[in-house]
Amino acid sequence: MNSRSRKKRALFLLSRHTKSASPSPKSTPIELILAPDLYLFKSEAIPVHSSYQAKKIAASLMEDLGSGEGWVYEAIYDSKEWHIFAYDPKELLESLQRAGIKARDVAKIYFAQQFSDQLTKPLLLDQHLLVSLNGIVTLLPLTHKQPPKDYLRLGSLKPPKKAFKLRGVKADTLLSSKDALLLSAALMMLALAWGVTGLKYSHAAKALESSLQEQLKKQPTLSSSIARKNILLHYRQIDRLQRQIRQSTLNIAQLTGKDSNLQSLRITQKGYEAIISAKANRLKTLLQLAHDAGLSAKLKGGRLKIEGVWR
Amino acid sequence: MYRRPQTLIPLLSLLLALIAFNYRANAIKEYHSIYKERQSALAQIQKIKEFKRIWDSKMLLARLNQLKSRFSPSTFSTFTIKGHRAHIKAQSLDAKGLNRVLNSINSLPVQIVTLSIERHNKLYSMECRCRW
Repeated sequence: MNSRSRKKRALFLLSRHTKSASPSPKSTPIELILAPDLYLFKSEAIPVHSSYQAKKIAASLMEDLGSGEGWVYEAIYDSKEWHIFAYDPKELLESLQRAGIKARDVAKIYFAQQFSDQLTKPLLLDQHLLVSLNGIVTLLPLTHKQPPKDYLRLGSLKPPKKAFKLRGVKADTLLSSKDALLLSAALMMLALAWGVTGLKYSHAAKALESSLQEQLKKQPTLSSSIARKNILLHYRQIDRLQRQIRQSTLNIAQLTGKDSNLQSLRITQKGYEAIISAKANRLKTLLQLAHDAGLSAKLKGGRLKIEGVWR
Repeated sequence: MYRRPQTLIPLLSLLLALIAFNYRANAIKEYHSIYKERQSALAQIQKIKEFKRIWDSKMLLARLNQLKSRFSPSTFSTFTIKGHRAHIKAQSLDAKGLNRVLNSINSLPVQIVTLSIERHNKLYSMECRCRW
């Protein structure tokens, strides 16, 4: 096998006789030139307009040359004729394995026939010569094991514009091209959906933020959350204390009546104290009523003393 | 090692999907955080407005004067208003009169600072200091 590197790509010439390839640098894609012993070639004028149509009928055209089931067909239009190529992927895979090349590392393939114009001299390939005879590229055995004096090197070849993908060979990966494309499409759809949802939420968040800012602009003194909390705390303290004062006053007033009189009531910011006088037989009932109303009361000197602190 | 596109493209798509998922998750989190903050701020503003309406009544001075006029001039021995403070003193009130005065003061949105009531010979005297 011969090889040369071009623009970080390794060019290899592969034939049935290739035994081992010199290792290419890691992450360097391989471009393969298939020697004529690895493919069948036919040049014919077919009334078709696309390579797709040409490939469709290629199987019937190449059948008499020895192609069979599972073969891969490629077609190129060149000077009023279609160049049809056929190769057996199994055989190609075996040759690749013999050469120590992994199918997944092959980026492009060319057919030696595509280099017919450049093969003005023989190209040396181990014990064989690649020559162009009347425009047909052929592989010839090297006679007397002596290379010709004047021959081409692989490095002097320029890859043609048209390259092919390696088809029909499992690329030693978990996913086939079709599965990979489907999976990628599904993931891209998900990414798109998530991206759009994220964008919507982001816009909605900005709208909420601006609406809040507008509300706060109307109340500049309440724009700070700390200020709001402090004002609320201040009012809550007032509200709770004043409601307790009023409720306690009401509860104490309810304990007074015909048989019981309020003697004194003192309310401060800390708490309250009230003294109620009543007939002796009424005092216990009043005490019970005071407890039921949640007041802290006790009997003292024939009077009911109620006292408590604000919570 | 060179990999065919069928390995690289799904990986890139997966990466893109993960980035989009992360972006969406962050956007939702941010939205909920702002929504919560907004609701909380609006609730606080509403509550402050309610408190101000109750405890910062601008009509309070008029209502205090109205209270004074509802009772006979002899009821209050002292009825002074200085700034946002009031000092109310009443003497010789019977139980009914005391109840009326107390109910009137309690119905006003004033902060009662001190309130004291004393009973002498079946009549009551009361003193109340309040502010607003």
